[in-house]
Amino acid sequence: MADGKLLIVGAGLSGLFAGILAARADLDVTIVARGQGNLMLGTGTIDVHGYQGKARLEVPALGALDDDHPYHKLSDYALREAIELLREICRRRGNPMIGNLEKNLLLPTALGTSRPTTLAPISMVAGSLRDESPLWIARLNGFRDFFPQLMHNRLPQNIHIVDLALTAKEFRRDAYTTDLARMLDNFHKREQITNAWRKSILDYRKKTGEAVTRLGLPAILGLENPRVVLADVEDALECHVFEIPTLPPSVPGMRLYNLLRAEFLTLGGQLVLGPSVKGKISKYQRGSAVMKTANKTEKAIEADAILLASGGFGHHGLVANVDGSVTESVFDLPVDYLTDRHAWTAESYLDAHPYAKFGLRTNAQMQPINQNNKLQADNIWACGSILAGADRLSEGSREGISLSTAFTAVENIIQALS
Amino acid sequence: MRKQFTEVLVIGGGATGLSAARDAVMRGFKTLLLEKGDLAHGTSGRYHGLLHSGGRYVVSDPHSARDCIAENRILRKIIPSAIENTDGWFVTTPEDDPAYADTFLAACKAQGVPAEELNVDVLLNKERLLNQRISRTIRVPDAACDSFDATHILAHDIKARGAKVLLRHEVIGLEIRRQKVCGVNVRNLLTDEEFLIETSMVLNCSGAWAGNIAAMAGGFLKVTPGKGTMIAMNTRLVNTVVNRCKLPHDGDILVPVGTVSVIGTTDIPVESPDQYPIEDWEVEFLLNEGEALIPGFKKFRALRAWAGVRPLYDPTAGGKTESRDLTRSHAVIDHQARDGVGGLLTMVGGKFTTMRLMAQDLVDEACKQLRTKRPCTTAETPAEAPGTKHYYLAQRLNRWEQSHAQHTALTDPIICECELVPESKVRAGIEASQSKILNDLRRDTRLGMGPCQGGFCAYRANGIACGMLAQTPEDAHTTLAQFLQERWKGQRNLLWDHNLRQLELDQNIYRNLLGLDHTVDTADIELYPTEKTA
Ligand SMILES: Cc1cc2nc3c(=O)[nH]c(=O)nc-3n(C[C@H](O)[C@H](O)[C@H](O)COP(=O)(O)OP(=O)(O)OC[C@H]3O[C@@H](n4cnc5c(N)ncnc54)[C@H](O)[C@@H]3O)c2cc1C
Repeated sequence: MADGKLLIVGAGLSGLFAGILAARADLDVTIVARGQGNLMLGTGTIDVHGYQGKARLEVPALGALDDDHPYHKLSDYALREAIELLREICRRRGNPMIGNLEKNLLLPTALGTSRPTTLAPISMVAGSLRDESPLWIARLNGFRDFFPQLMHNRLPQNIHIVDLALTAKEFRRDAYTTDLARMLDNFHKREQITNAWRKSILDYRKKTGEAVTRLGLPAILGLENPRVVLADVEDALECHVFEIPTLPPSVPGMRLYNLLRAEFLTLGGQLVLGPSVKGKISKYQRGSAVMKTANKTEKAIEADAILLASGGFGHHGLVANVDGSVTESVFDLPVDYLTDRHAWTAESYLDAHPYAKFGLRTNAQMQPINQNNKLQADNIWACGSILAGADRLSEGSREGISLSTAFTAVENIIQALS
Repeated sequence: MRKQFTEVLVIGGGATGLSAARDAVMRGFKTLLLEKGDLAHGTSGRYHGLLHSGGRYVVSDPHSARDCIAENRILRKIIPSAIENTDGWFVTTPEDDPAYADTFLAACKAQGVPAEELNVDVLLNKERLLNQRISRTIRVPDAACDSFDATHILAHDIKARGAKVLLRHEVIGLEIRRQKVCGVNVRNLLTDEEFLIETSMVLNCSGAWAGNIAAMAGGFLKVTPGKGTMIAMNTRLVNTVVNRCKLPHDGDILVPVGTVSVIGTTDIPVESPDQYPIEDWEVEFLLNEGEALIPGFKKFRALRAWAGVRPLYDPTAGGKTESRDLTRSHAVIDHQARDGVGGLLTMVGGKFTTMRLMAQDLVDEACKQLRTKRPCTTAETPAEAPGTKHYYLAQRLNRWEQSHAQHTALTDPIICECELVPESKVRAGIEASQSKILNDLRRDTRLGMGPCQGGFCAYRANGIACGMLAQTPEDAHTTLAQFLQERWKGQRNLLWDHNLRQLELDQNIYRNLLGLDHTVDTADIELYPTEKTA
């Protein structure tokens, strides 16, 4: 077992997961992060590799990705072990994830397209589009962040819309997903709500003669104890119920965040949210870092190893500057990017944008290197969305990259420190 | 083919056309207005937002200055709620010649533009971000005017007075009999249906496109489109209009408009009023000019860049001229006298600020040709309910809080958080326009114009519209993609810092969570024909 202090910058999926792995190996781990990362905004699923071009993949096809893709830096077991470990933690902490690397799940989006993913929370799987039976989708009248009318009828499955009653007493109409989830967490409110919904379903049955077999709801089924909420709702409505991710904040993403955070803290890790981290690299190629808090005080952080899990452009790990340059925000490490700003984006908003692949170049040990492959510091590693070479949205690969590169980085850190 | 008749037919739903239609209907003409896009679809919806006091023109173009101050006073009375009474200042920065301020003051006096030089501290204490080395400050009655609000008010008023307004209808030809225009051929761009509207008088208010209409009458009219680029900064860096005190030049005005402030403009002659991409050097130039007024300007978030085209009339057609040298004043062109074709008048030049006056001159001429005497009453008659107040910044918030106090908020959620647009407004907008084009809703409500540039509200508005207009999901997805594509045009030149971060968030919503890129074929997101400009 290794011994030493590890500083992780960033509390997104890769930062937390790396924190857990390092703490399990008895490292003294501190995570410092400005905010909570991409989980709050995402689907709450673990996407490993869903698309090749516009084609949906049955199975991740990592071999088809470019040579400099982060997946190609990994040992052949890193992804598999990372996925297994995450699944184990989620199961143990009461929010099981379903799926495997052998076949992508296909789940509906709120626009009714079919979305491939590797792992999904149990609360989503009844919506599987591999099952050809019809889908009933709930319209929570007045909820502004979910419009089932927009779900496609080009899917092979028939889609029916069911109106579920909402009364002003239960819902503020400008509520977010998280407001509804908190209400469903509360036993009494949940009972009221599910009773009203039950009545709506019975009315629907009477009116149409259809028996609802599986019902999709926006992803709002509780933050604290999703299994209980799911079971209660299913009992009341007498059908399978599944969640469909919709506009942020992401309830399934927050559950995953809460669960990983709890696991990390239980293992003795330290989490500091708020300050930003600034670092420098000495002429002996050693990185050191300070935290900057809101009142501008600086505090040195002791660390034998530093892991950058500070995210891409969306979370300030990478910053694009007005002069057209791109910088890495903590150490000003060299970033792979295109100097011609016109080439950063595609003409069409919905096409793949080249800037997505900008990021840190690393060696196989996940340590940042420059364009001439020169190591930048002996004690700095990087993982997650800050890494160059992947277009996570177009590939459907964000979480897979985060987990597996965190796994590999920590493996190398442990080796370096022992 | 369907046939219709109207006495006066106005081409163009910008400031000039709407003012002309208002003038005509108020003089008792049966009036119809045709616009190929949406209201304020052309230059009017892309202008800088300044209701000129005339100060800008006192030295270089005194005639315009006098028109501006007179019309400034009138518009405050007839479309009050589109105007925010911000005042304006002419300031001498270290880069400007301090002596110009004396020339300026004398010229203001001569042209009747109220101007008062005050101790610099008065302004600098109010506007803390301004360059502290500004040496002279002169106050004038400039104001900010929202062209979407203004055009919607005018359209509402003229419809209430019995005129017809047809949007998405393009004039594709003129019917000419015995040397006189007696009708126009129109295409409904949404249905592709074509028909004829007969008329006694065509008023061509198509701005930068005026040459196309003149050509339909066999005339040659040189209108040089002069592209002007502007950048909206994310916040109100100033609460008053700030002009550099020097001869009018590029990038020398900063206007607070709603929740943003707009720096502009550039001025570059371009070939076509439909194709004029923004260049990186323009963005850089404007941000640099901003630095003279506000040190550190570049560090603030630039939200969106867009451009409009000035319809500058060149009476000396042929020779090449820099477009700012062309006359700014307006002129009515009588095609009878010019090209031997009667029944057609064209308005060229002018400004947003002088729209009413331009309309008056135009309809005066029309009356003359139609041999009727009818006085113009537009200056005395407000287009809005009596007692309507000027716009003020906290207006939307105030309205929202009041509705909260009355608990109506419970049934009226905010759809666009950045611009505080509640669901009731979205529904009313869709109801009134019946338009599937989300961008029309934006012009009507400011939906999607704030910092998130449509990230959240586009999906919500799309969902509401889809239900109300009974759109198929396929159709609705295309609508959504079109809206996002239109917003994208204004962002692409400004992708640094916050904007790239915002792009990541929005891309995550539309390409990851919703999978919009997997339901529409991106090659298919043809914008509507008239949405293609810039
Ligand atoms: C960059 C810039 C900044 C400006 N800033 C200011 C300012 O701060 N203050 C100020 O007072 N003025 C300003 N102006 C000037 C002002 O914007 C214009 O003078 C005014 O908006 C012109 O209005 P319009 O109605 O004549 O033209 P437009 O608004 O362009 O209207 C013409 C309309 O005709 C329609 N049309 C064209 N062809 C056809 C057809 N065949 N059939 C049907 N419809 C057709 C077009 O779609 C368009 O909507 C600015 C101009 C520019 C370019």
